[in-house]
Amino acid sequence: MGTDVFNKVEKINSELFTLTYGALVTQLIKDYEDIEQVNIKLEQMGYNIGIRLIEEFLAKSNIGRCADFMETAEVIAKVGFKMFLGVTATVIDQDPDKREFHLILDDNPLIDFVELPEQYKHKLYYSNILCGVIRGALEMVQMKVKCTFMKCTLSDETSSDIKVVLEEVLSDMIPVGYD
Amino acid sequence: SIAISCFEFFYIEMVDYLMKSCQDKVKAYKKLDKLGFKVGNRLVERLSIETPLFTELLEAVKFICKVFWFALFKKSIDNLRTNHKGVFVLSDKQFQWLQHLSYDPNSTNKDCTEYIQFACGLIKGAMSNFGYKCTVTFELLQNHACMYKFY
Repeated sequence: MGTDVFNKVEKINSELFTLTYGALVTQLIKDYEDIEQVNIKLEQMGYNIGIRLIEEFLAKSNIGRCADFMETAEVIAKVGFKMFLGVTATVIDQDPDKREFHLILDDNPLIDFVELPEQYKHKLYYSNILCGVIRGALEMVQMKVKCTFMKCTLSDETSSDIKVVLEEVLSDMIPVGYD
Repeated sequence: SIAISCFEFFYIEMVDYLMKSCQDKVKAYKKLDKLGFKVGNRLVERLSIETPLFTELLEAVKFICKVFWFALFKKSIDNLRTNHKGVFVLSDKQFQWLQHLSYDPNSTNKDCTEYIQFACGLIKGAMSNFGYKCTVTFELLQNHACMYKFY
């Protein structure tokens, strides 16, 4: 499914993206000095991207409403990531209440050829922009979530792990004039 | 490769951040140019790994027009002109980063410098990797065409 959609979208050299992203993170570190601020800024930028990206996602993927939050998790991991970044993620640790899951990224184009200096390890969440994208995109489909990086391979941990917690389902008001 | 929309939305955010992070436009353009320089410099390094060293400036410029531009935008530069004294004019009739900007011919505000400055930096960075220091300026033509001039 994700592969089909990925084949449909127009593509660009991922090295350009990786290097540009890296240059931006470096710039942010220079501008802010405080690493926590950099994490926040990256998340905010991601949010702005997510709220726009969802539209293309819905248009191109032809995916309807998800039955529950767990289906949403699978769609993000298998279709969302595949469609935009060309990689898939794995969903683990779903809680019984179906309000929380973890995304494991085995492959992440953002961190190709990246190495973090010692002093930033476990402090900087280099790919934090992804958390913002997920939060922004889900908010547009009435799900308010909290998204955090739990582990990052750049900080010598075994995998990249994003935790997504559903906080609230926003009321689904259909604007006047829409069916 | 990754989806183009992914890069474009990111690009908009990046430009927006840089423009807001500086008090005046000129400073922000400089920053964008610098970022582009870094990226172009590293990108071309990987692209030209198997290319023998250029003996002439023109060869390097041709590499930019064909290989470099193609790697970035899946199309080469449409037209290359030179006065044979070191000035080159490259035109891209459909510059991708301008494709999705709304274009209003009646508007007085046609300034989209911030979306092109980064690309100027890319060219500069790539050329510097080949050992040529250059200045890149650009001119916007109608319908998303863009001309880069460099010395």
